[in-house]
Amino acid sequence: MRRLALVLAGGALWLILAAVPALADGGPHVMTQNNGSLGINADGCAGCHRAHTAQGPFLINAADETALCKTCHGAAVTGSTVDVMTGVQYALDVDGLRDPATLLGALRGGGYDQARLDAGDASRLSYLRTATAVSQRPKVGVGAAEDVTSAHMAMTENGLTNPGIAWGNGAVGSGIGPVVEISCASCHNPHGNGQYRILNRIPEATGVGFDDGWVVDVLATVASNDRIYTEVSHALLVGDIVTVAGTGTAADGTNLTVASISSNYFTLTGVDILADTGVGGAVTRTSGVGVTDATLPAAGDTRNYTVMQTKGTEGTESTYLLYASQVATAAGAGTFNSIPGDYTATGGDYFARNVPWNPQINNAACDPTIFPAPAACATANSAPNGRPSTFSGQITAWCSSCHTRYFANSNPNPTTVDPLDTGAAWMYPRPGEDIYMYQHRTVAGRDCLTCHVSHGSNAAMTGTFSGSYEYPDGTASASSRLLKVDNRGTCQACHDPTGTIVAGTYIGPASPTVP
Amino acid sequence: MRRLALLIAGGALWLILAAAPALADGGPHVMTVNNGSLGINADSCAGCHRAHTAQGPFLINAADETALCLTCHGAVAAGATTDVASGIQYQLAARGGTPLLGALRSGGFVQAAIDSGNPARVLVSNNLASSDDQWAKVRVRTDISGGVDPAPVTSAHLNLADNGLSAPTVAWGNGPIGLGLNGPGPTVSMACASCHNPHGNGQYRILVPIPDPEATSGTFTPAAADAVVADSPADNPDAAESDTKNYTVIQTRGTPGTLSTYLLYADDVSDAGYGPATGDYWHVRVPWNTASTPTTGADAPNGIPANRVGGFFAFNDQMTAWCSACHTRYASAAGDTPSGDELFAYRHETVGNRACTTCHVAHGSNARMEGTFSSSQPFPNGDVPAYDIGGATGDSRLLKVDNRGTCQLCHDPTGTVANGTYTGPIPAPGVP
Repeated sequence: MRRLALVLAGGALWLILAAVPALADGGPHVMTQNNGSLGINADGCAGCHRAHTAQGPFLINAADETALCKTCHGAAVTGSTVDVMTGVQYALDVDGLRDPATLLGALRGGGYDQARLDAGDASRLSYLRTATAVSQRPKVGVGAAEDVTSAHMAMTENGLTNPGIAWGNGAVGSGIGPVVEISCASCHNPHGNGQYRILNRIPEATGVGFDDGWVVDVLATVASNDRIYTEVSHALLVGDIVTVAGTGTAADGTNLTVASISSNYFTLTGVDILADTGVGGAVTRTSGVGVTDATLPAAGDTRNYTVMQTKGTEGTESTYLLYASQVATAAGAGTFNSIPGDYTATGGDYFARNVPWNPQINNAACDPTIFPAPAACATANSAPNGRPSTFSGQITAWCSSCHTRYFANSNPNPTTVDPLDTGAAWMYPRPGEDIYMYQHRTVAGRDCLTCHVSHGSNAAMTGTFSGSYEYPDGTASASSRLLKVDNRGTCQACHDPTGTIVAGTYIGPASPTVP
Repeated sequence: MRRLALLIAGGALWLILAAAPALADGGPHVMTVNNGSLGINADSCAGCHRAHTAQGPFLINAADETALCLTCHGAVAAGATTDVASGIQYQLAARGGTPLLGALRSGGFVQAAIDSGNPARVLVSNNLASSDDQWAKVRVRTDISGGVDPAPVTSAHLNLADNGLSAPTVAWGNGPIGLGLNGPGPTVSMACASCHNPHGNGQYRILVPIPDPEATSGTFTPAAADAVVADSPADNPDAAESDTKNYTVIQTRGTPGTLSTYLLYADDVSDAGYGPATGDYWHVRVPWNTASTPTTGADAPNGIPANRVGGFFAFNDQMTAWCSACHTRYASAAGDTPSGDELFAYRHETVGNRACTTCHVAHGSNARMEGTFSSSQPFPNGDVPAYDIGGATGDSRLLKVDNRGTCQLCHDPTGTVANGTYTGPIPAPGVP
């Protein structure tokens, strides 16, 4: 009998261990399984779909997409380590499911019901950016779970009532944006697609007038260098597929590939522009390059979806904190890749403007009052995918697929027609636009995810002005707009408009740590 | 006593051999013989019935219908070319031995020869709206020497002692659409004659026009009208050939209206030189690896791929209507439209080349459901298979490909596979 029990126990253990790889990172969302390239025998379909007894559209096993996602990614379930409702990632249990007793960390995206941004107690260190100019090094740490004050989706759990508008979507001068409906699958492809966070290459919402293809007016084409100048800065990336029309040049065509970019011009692969032209035409992005993902974790591991990240060596993924197993190990050791820090569930930086946010913490030589700082004090761009040189541009291009007119960099000087005479979007208006006219730039270090979380924020907008801030349609709201700091602390994280704070000044909680 | 036994055995053998010509296609199942229209002198009644010494209901010469059928159609019997237990068809002259004609379209009740682990797919378009454009094939399972190699089934339309299955006997989805009124369907008692009329009736595969299994729990709701599936002629137009039909997965694209261009009879298959390991279980298009039109290239084991004048209706449409006579609430014209039923709320389309028999075999499948989700897929009543199916696999639901490969033969939901990409065994399988 004892032998039999031993055999049964061994068998059960084998079954559990054998099942783990199938539930490793991606769960049923692994592209190579679902697209058949690893063989036409995927199991994942059965996780979410029913061919004949589906309860929702697309033959899903729930009333709607969001309800289906929550069956694994909800707060009180165990199907996934990622709880997008309360904004935390748990450790992976030996059975391949969530270990609800062990938190790994706080999610970068915040949460839909609760989030853990320490929005009321942000950190900021002022430092010398040049010999005379002072800039800021911000951090928003992890705090207690609080109810969200804004979320990308209104839900029963969060009690929010969103306007339901894709702000800024559409062509120049087309108003505030269309009324749309979104669900989890508007942004994510649950089947996996090889993209960072399985983001759809171009997000999709349903609504009259919604258009996820950017249209940017062409200002001029130049034969000598084959450049196509756009009226305002574009967010095109090398490899994007575009349609050009109305220029009257060889550039006009479909399924063209962007070969090179600068803020206000681009070139196309194989397109030789034979003649200069004046104003006319437009470029429309029809397919984006997406947001590059890191390599899938090994079986029995998951990705690190938390706000913890470290500066690594681009091209060497192992030097980044890409996987949950690395976080767990670092939490115990108090160090990762020889970088001491707090890697426990309360560690990390929501703001992620630079990594590390304050190099002085681990290197006393990085005195913020000294310029130039030693090379070892250099910080890196945020790179949760291990690719700091491209992540910021890619994620901003992605967000801008919906919020088209929120992408901003340089606009033309309204007093000239010289295509090279452009200036910051906060200084020159977007031509032809009466709502999204002057805008904060959304380029590296100021990308969309610098100021905003993607799922939901608990930042409190209690001030007189912040608490009655108008949406683009003029409706006042105390929504936190997915911002990361209470009231307009998000602005102050980078700006001292008074010019009175001196380099070396630290404001924030005592004993700050990295990451 | 030994002499007497020898005599009886010899007599029995003679009876079998003497009866063989009468057991050609249709065997005792020929409608015109059994309905008396050819004369009130049918012999075949005596093949299966005993007026006074019957061993089972309906005066049959066996304990039950299924046992009776298996006396000819079983694995170790010799009365018919079709071995529905093992899922294979023999050539007429060689029942019980080689050569085989091919693998049965319906799989088998005990074993089936579906190469469910090695399907082939050419992704013609990764646009979700073009999912029915893909080219796909599910081959016949073979051993290392290339011989047809049936494997134990993991689901079957009948629980038999030989297959060891004990699946729920629910007529899933039977009954009208209703908000919580009808549940998953009634529990029924099934036998071969639930679907087939052994006396012949002129229907494709002698399918009963209105299947009506006995309900053992709940109420079975039969179809209100006949579900007709047209058959090819019982008599082979080629008088020199046998009337035995081709029940295998081997088929070719023919010319609608010209029956001789289809592989309708067993001798056609032999004459064409197609080996027993050829054929395509998937048969969404014929041949599998070419663009086809519904009018010529659709699945048509009866030689009728599409509607045409003269009262001919597409095989796929008729077959789906027939299956839906029991599984009423499975029929769906649009997967994105709610049915109004609480349980069968959204259903995969079952129109065009998405017929029931596109994804499912009728008798039994050896597809392996070993994945985490596929192995624990609950039945519509919520029950998860807890009975032994044969190792670490779930109930395959008569599907043709391991896990949910059946979905992938038409769908790339990731949108990442380039159009024209081939996935499958190397070299790519040929036709048919």
